[in-house]
Amino acid sequence: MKYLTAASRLLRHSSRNLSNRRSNLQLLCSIRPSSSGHSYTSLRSYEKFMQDDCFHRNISAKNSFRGSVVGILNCLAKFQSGGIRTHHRNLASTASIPERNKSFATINSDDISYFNKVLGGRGVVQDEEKLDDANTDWMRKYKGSSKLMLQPRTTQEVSQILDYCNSRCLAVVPQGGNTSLVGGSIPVYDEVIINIGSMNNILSFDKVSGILVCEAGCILENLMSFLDNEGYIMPLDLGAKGSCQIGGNISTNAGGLRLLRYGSLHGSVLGLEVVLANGTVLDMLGTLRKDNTGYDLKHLFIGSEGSLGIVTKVSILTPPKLPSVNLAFLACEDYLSCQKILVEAKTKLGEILSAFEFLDINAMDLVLTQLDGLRDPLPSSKHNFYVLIETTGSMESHDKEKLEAFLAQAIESGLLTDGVVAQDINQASSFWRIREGVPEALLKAGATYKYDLSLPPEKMYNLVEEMRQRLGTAANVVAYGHLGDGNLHLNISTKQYDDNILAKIEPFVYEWTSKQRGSISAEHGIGLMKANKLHYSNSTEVVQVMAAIKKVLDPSGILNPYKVLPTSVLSSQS
Amino acid sequence: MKILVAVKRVVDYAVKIRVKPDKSGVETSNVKMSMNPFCEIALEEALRIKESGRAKEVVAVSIGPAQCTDTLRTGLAMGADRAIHVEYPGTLYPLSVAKIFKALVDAERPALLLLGKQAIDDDCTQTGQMIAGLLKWPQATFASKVVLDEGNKVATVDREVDGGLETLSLDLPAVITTDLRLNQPRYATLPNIMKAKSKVIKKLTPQDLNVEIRSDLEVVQVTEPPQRQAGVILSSVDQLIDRLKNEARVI
Repeated sequence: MKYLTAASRLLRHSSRNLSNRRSNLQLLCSIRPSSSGHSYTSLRSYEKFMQDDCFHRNISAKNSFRGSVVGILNCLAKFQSGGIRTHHRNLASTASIPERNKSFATINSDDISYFNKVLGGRGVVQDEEKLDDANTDWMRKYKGSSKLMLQPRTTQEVSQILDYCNSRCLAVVPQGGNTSLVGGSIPVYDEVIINIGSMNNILSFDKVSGILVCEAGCILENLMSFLDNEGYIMPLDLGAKGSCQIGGNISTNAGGLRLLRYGSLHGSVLGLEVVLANGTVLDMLGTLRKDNTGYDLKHLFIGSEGSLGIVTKVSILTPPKLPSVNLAFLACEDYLSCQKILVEAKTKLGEILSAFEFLDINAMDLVLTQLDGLRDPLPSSKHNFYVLIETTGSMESHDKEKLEAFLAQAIESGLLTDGVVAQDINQASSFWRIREGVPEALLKAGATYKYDLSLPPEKMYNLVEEMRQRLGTAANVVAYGHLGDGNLHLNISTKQYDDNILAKIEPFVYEWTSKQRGSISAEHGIGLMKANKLHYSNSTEVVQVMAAIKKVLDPSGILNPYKVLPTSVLSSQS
Repeated sequence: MKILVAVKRVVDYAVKIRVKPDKSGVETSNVKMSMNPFCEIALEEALRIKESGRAKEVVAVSIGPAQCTDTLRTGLAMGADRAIHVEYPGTLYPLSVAKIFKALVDAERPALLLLGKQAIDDDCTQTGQMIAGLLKWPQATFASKVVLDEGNKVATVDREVDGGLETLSLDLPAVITTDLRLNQPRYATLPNIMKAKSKVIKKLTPQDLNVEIRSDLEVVQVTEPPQRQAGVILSSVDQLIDRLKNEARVI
């Protein structure tokens, strides 16, 4: 983000009080976040606070200076809306961002008054500061230049908005918690942001079946707290739970830490209410476990990242909360042992296994260095690999016995070199904080090139080692992920984004993955980052059918443009 | 020297507790139970003293129902040498616990008795003090630092009191109860968990120790604290004064 660094350099020059944005961030991040809303929410709100803080300090320092900074920002913002390529050079993936689609209109005052009428005067956001936030993604890698954000409260409002935008050919971006890691939830140009966050009501919960019906803007962690009271849990769990919304989770078919046990959202989502591009409301909000009546359309929307319709209501099957949860933090010498432990865990722990995660030594070091208040559970020596195994069951004694037998055997056979078992919930949370804190630690360490790959487990770590060879000392290659699901999170951490480093990573990573018939995006989705990379994991025919479906459901292409599908395929359709 | 550490099995600190519908107590069935955090700290301190060469044996003691053995296993996994379980299924109040400990101390003759300052379920903060009274031993409560002298004859203890820190010097044998900042308890490592399986947990009953469990206290009712009322945003100072005067009646 060239213009941002230029501005911050100016700020540093003139005002002694304003320190570097990043160090402020680190200072604020050291404040303990609340129970389990770790990284994501706290980070966002502290950044906002910091921005507000800087702004206010600016005013007190020099009034005229403030004017000039704003002037510079405005000037650069104009550059952006002109769609000049220079802005995009800062994006980690220099794969060309398509030009702004000329068929899209730009908003005018008539549009604003219409939206004001539909939303009853509230929920029409044009304030620059709020838009700044909504225009920037969590990784601070991408920034759009939308001038308008709408916050509908009912499905009816969403429908009216989309109907209008479709007729005006105004592009829109559906947005939830804005925690996308592939630039999927922010505008590329001036698309209107439709933020579903105000639709956050829980509509019903059946205590017998565990079926929850709620609006798409409910924050995942809030749903978890609600269900906790009722003796149930959400079938998914991820580090972003404090900020991400269920609509977004569903639109991206989020995986997370418990996929191993509860399966993917394609299985747990029973029904959806979706609004199509032309405002048609599709009521598929069934609460039935079994319903084989025609084509199961909701699966199209699960994982389509808002490009086929906006999810407004969700009905999801939730598993009962089981009392006995055990967590073991283990150490292995090599990757082969990690795989063998996975096999052993699946057979010996069987039905009680609920999570299997791994971190390599670089990931562990990074987390312990960058984040405050974390202890190394195995301080006596450094280990090459760490594995987190969680069991969930209904009987404490039964589970403990199984777990201890499994661990005893693993140690005896040399698969494990060391490990600890959490003795209470606090210890368990601190182990989880280590694993869930890696993305945040990477954010604090500088720039991250993030890859989320599905690979055959035997081959997975070979990629990491090859990347280390390719990059040498130029970057820190950090690997962690859902080993139990064959999902590697490969992250290359550098001080700054650097095209030379990027050239060494891409397209090598994608080609390597493609050769193994792996997925270039296991759970993060395609978003903007990988829109032109679809062919690495999908055949041409498949992508063409995807484009055909997009054409049927969104003929004007206003929903989340430039994302998911490559523009070349879409233009060839029309 | 021998150190005796008292550990209590309580509802896990992170669990959201609920009151039973009949208001007779807190819901404990199907709820995660763990070692009282202050007891963990006491045990950790005992283990550190042993590791520094000052103590030969650390014995963990728990009084309560059969499941207390789980808590004792955790204690053994952290590093205690052996454990004693005084089995009693009913409700126990601090004075009964203190009497049982007196009997145990008379039998085991430890030089130091460590306890957590309070249990997080009843928050009594009485047991350590009562035991010291019954034994006529010196006591230092809310310890945030414990230093033993060369000959294991005197303990210098920093206590966290309302006004700050107070340093006491105690002749051993003594009772010390631990506060939060004393140390950070260790995790139970796998090798220790395996070793703990073969360590001994001796079972006793209050009758074996000639202690009769009775109490002059009876819990009549347990209720949740009243719901917090939502705040009100007032629009002027006059309104505030009016409310303070006429509604809250504080001025």
